[in-house]
Amino acid sequence: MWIKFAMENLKKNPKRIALTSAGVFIAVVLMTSSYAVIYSIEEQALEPWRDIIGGDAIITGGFSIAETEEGKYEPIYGVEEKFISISNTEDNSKASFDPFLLIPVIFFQEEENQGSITGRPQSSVEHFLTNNLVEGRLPSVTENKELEGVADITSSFVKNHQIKVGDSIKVLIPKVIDGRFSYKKGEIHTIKIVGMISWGGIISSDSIVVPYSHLAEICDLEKDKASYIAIYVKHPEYRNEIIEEVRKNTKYNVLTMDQLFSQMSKDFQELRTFIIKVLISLFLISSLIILNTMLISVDERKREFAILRSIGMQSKDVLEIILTETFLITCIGAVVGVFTSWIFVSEFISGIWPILKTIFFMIIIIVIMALITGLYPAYRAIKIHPMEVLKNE
Amino acid sequence: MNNIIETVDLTKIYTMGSEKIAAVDHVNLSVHRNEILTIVGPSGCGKSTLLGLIGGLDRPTSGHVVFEGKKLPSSEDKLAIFRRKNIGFVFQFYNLLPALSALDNVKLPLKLLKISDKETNKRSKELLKAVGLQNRFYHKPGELSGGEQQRVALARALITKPGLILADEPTGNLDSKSGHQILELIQQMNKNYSQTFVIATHDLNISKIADRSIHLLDGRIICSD
Repeated sequence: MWIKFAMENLKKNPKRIALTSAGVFIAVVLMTSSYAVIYSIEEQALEPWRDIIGGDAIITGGFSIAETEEGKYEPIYGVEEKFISISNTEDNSKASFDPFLLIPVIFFQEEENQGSITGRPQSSVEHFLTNNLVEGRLPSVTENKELEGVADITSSFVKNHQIKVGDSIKVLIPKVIDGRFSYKKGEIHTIKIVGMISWGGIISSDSIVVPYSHLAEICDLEKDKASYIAIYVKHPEYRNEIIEEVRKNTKYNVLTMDQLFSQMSKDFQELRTFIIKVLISLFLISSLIILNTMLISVDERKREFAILRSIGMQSKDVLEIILTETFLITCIGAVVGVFTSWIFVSEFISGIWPILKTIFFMIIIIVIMALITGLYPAYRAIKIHPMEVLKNE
Repeated sequence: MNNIIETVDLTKIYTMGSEKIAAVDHVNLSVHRNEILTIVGPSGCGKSTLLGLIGGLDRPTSGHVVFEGKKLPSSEDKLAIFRRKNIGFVFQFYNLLPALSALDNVKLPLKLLKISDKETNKRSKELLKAVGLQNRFYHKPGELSGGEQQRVALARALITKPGLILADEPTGNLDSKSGHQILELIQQMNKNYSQTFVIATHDLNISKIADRSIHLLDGRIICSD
C-alpha cells in the first residue's frame, strides 16, 4: 500500500539516497567477497580430504591416518621397507604401511606449463599402483637421483599436453618448513613420467605419484622419517584394535578420517572468526549509514507524519512506511552490490549452487539489516505528537 | 441524540518552565448535529487547542470529550481510528502532503479505511469535481494556489463522510476571494451532506455563515450566540 508513497519520498532527496546506497553497495560487496573468500579457502583446503572420504571404498574398509605428535617426524618401523605391516596379536589380522606415503597432487597451470605439488596421505598406494598400472612401470629411486613418477592417463593435464611415458614435466615442489609445505621456498624439479595409471576416480586424477623417500629428500623431510603414515586396514572389523596397536607401539597419534577432517575444520575457526568480525563490522557500518539517513528523513518529515496521524494513520501504518523506505534504500545499494560482487565471488567459488547460497545468505543479512535499522526511525516517527507539530507550524 | 459532541470540564494545561498555562480551561460545550459552529477569539485564546482536544489530536489534562454518547478512547491508535472514521480536519496551512498529487492527497483517508482502489478513485474524483478542481487532479500542492490547496484539504476532510469537520482558521491564509469560496463550499457541504462543522477563527465575518458562535478568551467560553 505504501510503496508508491515511500518511492515518492525517496525521490525527494536523490543525492542523499545515492550516497546511502553507495555506502550500502560498498559494504555489501565487501561482505559478499569476504564471505566468498573464507568459503573458497575452506572448500579448497578441505576438498582433497572430502575426495578421500566421499564414496571411497577404502574408508568403508577402515582407513586411518597416523600423525606425529606436535608435528615432529618420528621414525616408525622403517619406511624404506617395501611393505610394512603390523599384526593384530589376537587374530593375526594385518595392517599395511605404504612406502608411497605422500601422493603429490599436481595443480597444473596451463599458462605456465608447470604445476605445483602438494602432499596428501593415501593408503595402499602401492596396491592401487600395481593394480591400475596401464603402461610403463612404477617409479623408483634412481641412482642418478632423477625424480620419477606415474601420472593418471585420464587426467586433464596428461590429455591436454599429450604427456606420455618417457616425458619429463616441470613441477614446483615445496620445502617442508616446520612441518608445513612452503611453496615460496620450493624449487622447480623435473619429474620423468615412467608409467601411466588409471586411478578410476579413487583420488584426484591430476595426481602424480613419486617415491616417498625421494620426495622426502627434495622436500627436506628428514630421510626415513614420515610426517604422515596412511594405514590400509585389510580387515575393517579390527580397525579399532589396529589403531590401538599403532598407538601402543609408536609415538604417533592416530586419527580417523572423520577426526582428521574435523581437526582441519577447526584450523579454519580462527580465520572464520576474523571474517565474521569483518562481516559484523561491515553490517554495523552499513546499518549506521541507513539509520542516519532514515533519522534525518523522519526529522525532516515530522509535519508529514503529523498530518498522516491527524487523518487517522495508526502506528502500524507508520511502521510500514518507514520499513518500506528503509528496505528500498537498502535494496538499491544491496541488489547492485550483490550482483557486482558476483564477479568477485565467481573468482573464488565455482558452481552455481555455492554462489546462489552466498547470495541467498547476503539477501537474508540485507533483509535483517533493513528491518533492524528501520525500527528506531519508525519508533521516532510513531512518537511524533501531531498536535504539537501542527500547532508549531 | 441532537449533540454530536460534548465536552465536559475540558481542560488543557501546558507547563512552561515553572509556569502553568491553561490553554483550555474547564470548557463545557455541546455541538449540535448538522450545525456550523464557530469558535471565535483572538490569537492564543485556545481555539486550536480546543479543536485538537475535540478531534482527539491531543489529550486533555482533565475533563473529557463525548462523541455521539461515547467518551473518546485514550490510546493513541484507538484515537487514530476514531479520527479516521469520524473527524475531518482542515488546517490554516492546508497541510497537504507535497509529494502526492491533489487526487492522491484526497485518496489518503480512504486508503487508511482500506476502501478498494476503484471506489477510492471514483469518490475522490467526484469530490474534487465538487470543489471545482476537476482540472487539477494530478497537480501537486506546490503547483496549486492557496485557495486550490485549501479546497483539496477540504475534499480530503470530507472524503470519508465524517460526522464532524474541524476547521482551524480555514481562510486565514487566503485572499478574500478564495476565502469566500471556501466558506461557500463549507455552507454547501453542510447543506448537501448534512455534516457538522466546527470552525475556529478570529475573523468575525466567518461567523456570518455559522448557525452558532462561541467566544473564547484565555481558554474559557465567555459568551455564546
